Amino acid sequence: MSYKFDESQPIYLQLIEIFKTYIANGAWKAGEKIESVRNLALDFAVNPNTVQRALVELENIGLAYSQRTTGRFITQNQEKINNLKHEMAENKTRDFVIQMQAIDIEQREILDLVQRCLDSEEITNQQENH
Amino acid sequence: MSTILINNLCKRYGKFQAINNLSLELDSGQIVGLVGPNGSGKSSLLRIIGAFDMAYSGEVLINGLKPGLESRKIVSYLSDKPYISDNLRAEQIIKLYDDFFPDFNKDKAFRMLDLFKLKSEQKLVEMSKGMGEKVQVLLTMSREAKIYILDEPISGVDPASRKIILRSMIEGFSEDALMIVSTHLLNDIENIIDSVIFLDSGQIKIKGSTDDLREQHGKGINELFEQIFQ
Amino acid sequence: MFSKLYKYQVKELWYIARYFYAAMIGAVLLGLFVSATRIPGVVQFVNAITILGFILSCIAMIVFSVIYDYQNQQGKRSYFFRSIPAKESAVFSSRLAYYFTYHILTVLVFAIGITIFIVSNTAVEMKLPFHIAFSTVKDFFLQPKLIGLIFLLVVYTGLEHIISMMFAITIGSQAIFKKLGVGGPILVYFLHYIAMQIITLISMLLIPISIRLPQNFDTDFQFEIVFESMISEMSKVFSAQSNDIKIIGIGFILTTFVTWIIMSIWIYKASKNKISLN
Repeated sequence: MSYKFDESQPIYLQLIEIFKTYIANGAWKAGEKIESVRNLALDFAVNPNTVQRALVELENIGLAYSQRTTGRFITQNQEKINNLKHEMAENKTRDFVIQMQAIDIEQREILDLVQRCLDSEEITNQQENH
Repeated sequence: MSTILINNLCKRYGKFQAINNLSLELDSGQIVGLVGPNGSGKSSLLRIIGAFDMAYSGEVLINGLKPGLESRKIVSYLSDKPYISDNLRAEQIIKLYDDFFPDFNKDKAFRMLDLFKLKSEQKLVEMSKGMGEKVQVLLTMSREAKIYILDEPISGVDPASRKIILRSMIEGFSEDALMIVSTHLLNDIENIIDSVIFLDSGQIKIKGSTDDLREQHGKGINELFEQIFQ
Repeated sequence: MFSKLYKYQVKELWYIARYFYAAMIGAVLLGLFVSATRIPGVVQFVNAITILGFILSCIAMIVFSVIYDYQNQQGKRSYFFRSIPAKESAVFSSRLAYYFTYHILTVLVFAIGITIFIVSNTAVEMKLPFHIAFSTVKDFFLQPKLIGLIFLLVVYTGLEHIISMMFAITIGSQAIFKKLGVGGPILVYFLHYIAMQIITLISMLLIPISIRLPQNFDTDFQFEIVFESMISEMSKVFSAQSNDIKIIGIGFILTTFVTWIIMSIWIYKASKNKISLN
């Protein structure tokens, strides 16, 4: 896998976002063992210390935990994962709304757009592909 | 004890001041990028750290030792003009290294040979420039050294090979080692280095963790580099 | 580590040395073959060319042995060679052994080749069968005293050549000579050469160890070591006590030995503490 990072942002912050997405969409399942730092570093073609830093951050916010001998795991606490999902959804929605407001779209029009978007074939197809 | 400790280092070639009162401290467990324009003193600095140039003034300590035979034992060095022998096949060179270096890991070398898709029975003279550089990188990375110095390891190779070489650097890097990579192709390595040193006219212009620098300046390391050295 | 380093250096030069030795042997065989035809004119012409090729190959061998050592010390292979965790004494002695191997090998091939040239030349010129020419030449050369003397000379000139080459390469590559590149070793070689000539001349004249030459070379082949210096013999000539200088100073052998030791220590220390690669 080759990943394109935004060079102007710290890589570890971008890694945290990627890992959160993995947890939210279930690519990384609750209670599952996380890949080794070196393998993740190889996958993302980044420095192992950067991966380490991102994973420690993941632990600090309670999404992962370490077991001294066996490695690092995703949290088994489903509530935390749900909270993460909601938080991410809220953040993304807020960003979206701010962007819409910035180009002067009214509230009703925003809702309308969202509905139309959800109804369109393009989106439905994409979801099926997932 | 710092892995590399340098105080007031000066190096001149005749009238040309290659390194000008440089001080630096580096610890293990990181990959450091050494960047700067041509003639900024990168290779000179690395040669001194590697104990390949003992004509300098100032203090240099490598793992507490003055550069010399003893310090050289813990340094795996890839020079910017690497060369061993045209007449040997890849497997013979690996054997030669295994003979000469007690810290050489033969299995790792053969693994990387496979990873690089090189043929063990091919002679160096028959290889392209990129293949030759890969062999050099794998030889350097296959030593279990404390310090790895790679002087322009990716300059002569195509982008695809560059990726594989960078991968092998991540793979070969161990947590208690220090790796210094000099390059002018900052773009390619900026994601794999922990910290970066910008060298200009033999002095350190900026030094710091790459993520901190990105945060501070709000731009990529390469962009920052271009801005500073315009 | 000594033997590994030695093997590496010998092998590395062997990749090209084998062609030179093959050329030398080929030249000798060609000369022999053409001589056997005894065609006037052709034999002399071909022999002149083959001997020239033979001698040039010999010189090239010596030159390449020096170039390869330079590549290990300072040139393209230096980063590899210098990385090897070997004690300086192992590096020094393996270099010495490497040079000596090719020196002896080259001298040996040279001696055998030249002997065969002489034999075939004698056979052609004197219209003798080859085996008779060979036994004549053999009787002349196979005197134990002569062989011993030649052996000593080979070792002596070999050591002189090897140590001065190593000295030139190591000292001429130090940081102060770096700007000159390969010119550094060449400059140091010539400076050293001039210094050695002066030292040799002075010690020949002043040190009171000499060999008294026989009065008549035809009847008397005895050399006698005397404890007199050439300078005192010269003053006798000037003061008309004697009319000829009949002794040759050999004190230079002593001073040469001393300079070899000094140079070896110098090489050893410089390659340990004063490395400065390009």
